[in-house]
Amino acid sequence: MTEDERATVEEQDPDYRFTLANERTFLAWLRTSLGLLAGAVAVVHLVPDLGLPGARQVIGAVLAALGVAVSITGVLRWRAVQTAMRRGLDLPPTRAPLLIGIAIAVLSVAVLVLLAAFARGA
Amino acid sequence: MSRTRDDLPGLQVERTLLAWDRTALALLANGALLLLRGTPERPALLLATTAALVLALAAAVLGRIRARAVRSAQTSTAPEPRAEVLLLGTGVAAFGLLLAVIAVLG
Repeated sequence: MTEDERATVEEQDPDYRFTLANERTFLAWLRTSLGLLAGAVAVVHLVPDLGLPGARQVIGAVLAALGVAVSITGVLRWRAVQTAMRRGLDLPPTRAPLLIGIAIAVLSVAVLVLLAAFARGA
Repeated sequence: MSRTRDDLPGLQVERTLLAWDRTALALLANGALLLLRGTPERPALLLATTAALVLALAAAVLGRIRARAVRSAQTSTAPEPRAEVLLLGTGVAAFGLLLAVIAVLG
């Protein structure tokens, strides 16, 4: 957009229901992040040894990094959506929830494989 | 401009306040998880636990601030939670970063 085009885009305060809906969605992003972070703590501190040395630290670090990424995504998404609502534009699409789901599935399979391959039987 | 909220206005605010409270509870749970192996003695773990509890309190307080701000608005729009989003969002991101460091360094 040129400087002139940007200046003439009308912005209005959205209806309060849209503002609140965006707010609740942001909080849902944060709770997703916190879920991933709880998984990180559990894998590193609370589950028994997975057999392969260092595996817990790697999986824990990956989960924590995902948690950080998701919380930042939540903030950026809130801003993008709020701006779109102010300008009466379509809401920007996001593939992030799909990617998060895939990441969780991959990590779960990795833990199951590690348990099957390396952990001592109970 | 008179208030034109003619649907059931209180319910949206109620849902949003509950969402803030759910987030505060999630933060409390994360803090409790860090305490499961006893009172943390290592400074990094102590810091992470404190951060979780402080953020939980912040979420509860921010939720109430938002509810009051929205209820007292005189039109069908509401003030945006720009500062609240930035505050809690960066707080949780920083908490996560600390946990990532703890996971790697032990």
